[in-house]
Amino acid sequence: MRANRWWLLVAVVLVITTFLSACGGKGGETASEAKTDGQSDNNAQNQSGRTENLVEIRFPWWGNVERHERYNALLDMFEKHHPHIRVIREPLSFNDYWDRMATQTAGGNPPDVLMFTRGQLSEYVSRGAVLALDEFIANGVIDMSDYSETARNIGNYQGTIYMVTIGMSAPATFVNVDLLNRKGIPLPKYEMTWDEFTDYLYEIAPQLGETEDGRKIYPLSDPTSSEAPISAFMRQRGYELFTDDGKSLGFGKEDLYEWFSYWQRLREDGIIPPADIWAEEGGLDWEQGPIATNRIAMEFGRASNNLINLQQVVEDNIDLIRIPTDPSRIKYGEIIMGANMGISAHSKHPEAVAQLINFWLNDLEFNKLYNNDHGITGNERLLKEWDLPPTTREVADHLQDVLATIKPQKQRPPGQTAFFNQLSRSHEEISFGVKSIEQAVEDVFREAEKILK
Amino acid sequence: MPVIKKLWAKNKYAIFFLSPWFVGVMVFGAIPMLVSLYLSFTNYDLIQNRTWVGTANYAEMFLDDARYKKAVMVTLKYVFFGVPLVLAFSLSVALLLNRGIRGLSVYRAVYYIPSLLGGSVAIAILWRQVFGRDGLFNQVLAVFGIEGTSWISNPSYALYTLIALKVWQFGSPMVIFLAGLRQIPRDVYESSSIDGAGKIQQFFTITLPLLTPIIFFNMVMQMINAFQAFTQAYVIGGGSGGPLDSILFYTLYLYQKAFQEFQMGYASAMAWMLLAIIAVCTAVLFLTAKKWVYYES
Repeated sequence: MRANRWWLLVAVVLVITTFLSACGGKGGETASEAKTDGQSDNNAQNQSGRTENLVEIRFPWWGNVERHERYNALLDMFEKHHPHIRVIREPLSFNDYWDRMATQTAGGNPPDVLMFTRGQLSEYVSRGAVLALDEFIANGVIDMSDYSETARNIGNYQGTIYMVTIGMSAPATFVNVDLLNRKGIPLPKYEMTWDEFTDYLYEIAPQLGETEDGRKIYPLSDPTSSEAPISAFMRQRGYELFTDDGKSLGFGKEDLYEWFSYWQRLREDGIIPPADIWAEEGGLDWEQGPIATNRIAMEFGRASNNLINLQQVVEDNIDLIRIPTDPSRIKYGEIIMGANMGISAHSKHPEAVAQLINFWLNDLEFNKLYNNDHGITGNERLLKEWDLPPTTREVADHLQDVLATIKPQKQRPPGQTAFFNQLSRSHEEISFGVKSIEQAVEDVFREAEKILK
Repeated sequence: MPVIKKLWAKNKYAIFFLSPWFVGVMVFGAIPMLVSLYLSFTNYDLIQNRTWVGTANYAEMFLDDARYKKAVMVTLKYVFFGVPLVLAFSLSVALLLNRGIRGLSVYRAVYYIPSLLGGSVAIAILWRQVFGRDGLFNQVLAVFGIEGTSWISNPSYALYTLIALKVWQFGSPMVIFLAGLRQIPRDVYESSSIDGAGKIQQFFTITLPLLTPIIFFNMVMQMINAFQAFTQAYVIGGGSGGPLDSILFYTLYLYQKAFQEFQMGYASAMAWMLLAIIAVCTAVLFLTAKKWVYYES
């Protein structure tokens, strides 16, 4: 009897182990299994009887569960309006999306519908992976008559339009209004100069105190030299990040030194969190992020459209103010970011994708459901017709304000991902104190020379 | 050709049965590896370009890439701390279990489970939680009054959390050690204790020498695996290499170069370099094995 019970226990453990071994194995295989499982499930879901004259286009996107559900509803709406087009949906996480995009493009099997942010446009266009859209726009298949010149040229690379914007945003400083009110601190002005902004930060720092669980509240986040904040800084000095031919940096070592020094000073004076705290907490986002946990009172240089989703998971009221201005040089430096959509150069059904894009850009019902997910639509007619919810209205107003006041911006050249990685690495090295600012500036320029040639 | 006809007649069934495997190895293994070798001498950018650049990739790796050196250092540290720790730990547990505990098979299975799960993404995410600022590890430390920092985002400690993850997967070498311990005949111990040998002496003069083939096997396997570690570093560091590149494993850097910076040619060169490094380390182990591995036959 006893022996039998032991054998039973062993058998149970072995069975559980066998099930669990499906989770293990070599890590790489597991991850890729999970990915392809997800994709084949989606394909299975979308099988239906109709096959005559049916055009199928593949559309991967990145996001979270909420976005996947929304996009599925959006594409159902599109398919109803265009019964001869079926969209094969491939929802992915952000990192997986880019891995897959690179691999599939390399394997000659890219999806039909391409979705890019500002960073990847030049990488893929310069490698011949994206179809030019000028013709579609000219003959109205993609109707951009309600878009401003700036909005239309978001996806312009070296004179040709390769992508159209499905949502724009601009960097802003997110202010936790409720937190400031609770501490009895006066709110910052919507527009402040760099000096006024810095003075304000130093003024409020001692008044902020601690969070509920006893952790110090910092006035501002660490922007880690990501593209939007540093672009604004350089553009105010009259420099784009890269020269027109994309072969070198558009700013000088002294400018980068000034940028790094400013943030190092703030770090040393306790205005922004120190390196180790930011290494952990800065990487978290949304309801776990430092704004939500009241660790910081303001977040610098974040894409404005994030406010829509952030406000839904954060109880405190958050407002947008503009990046500090520089009246002594060029006052406003923000760049427009957001998500763009395009057609793969290898797509067999470019007209079908063009119709999807056109629908995305112009249909009011569609856009109401889409709800400016990646950024505010550039369609000015829609914005007038539409009664936007208050947070979205705030983001839209901020965006219009920025659009009206900034100079036109340049596209990123290819190879810049490596450059921005180096920038954030150097920023990190300075903040941890392992490199001096001079050394870090040298590193960045040396790396840029290697990458951009 | 009569030779070939004879070979075919004699072996055709074997060839039939082996052909699926052979096709698999060729198509998914050997040919891609050869292509990768070719690519390592080009500047292939994963989408379009493929021009021959000779040994430029290799030259850049050794002469001009600070991150490469960092990646090699991090990986070497991981291997040279992690592998001995795993071996020591798994041997100790195997020795304990070998005393004839009741429910040995249950313990063996339970300790083996981490080896099955450990390479998975889910465990890596869990690990990141456990060693975070508010994680389980710090909560346990708090019981002893020690205030813990965030281990995974601290450049000085992040690598050690990964080494801990490796040691947690001790089950696989442990099972092999257990089998090896069982193979040592009892009478050797009995006769030695008649001659007056104590437990510790027995361990160093009987157990350890007779186990050296197994130790050697485990050492080589663990080392080869450790050089190729990827998933845990990717998930725990968020794909970036961790704070100050402290967990920039060699394979992780390779991945970044290939898929984020579109330098597949360079990444292929890195891959073949890794093969060379592992081959050299393994060869060194085999050469020194003659000195300390004792084969009974």
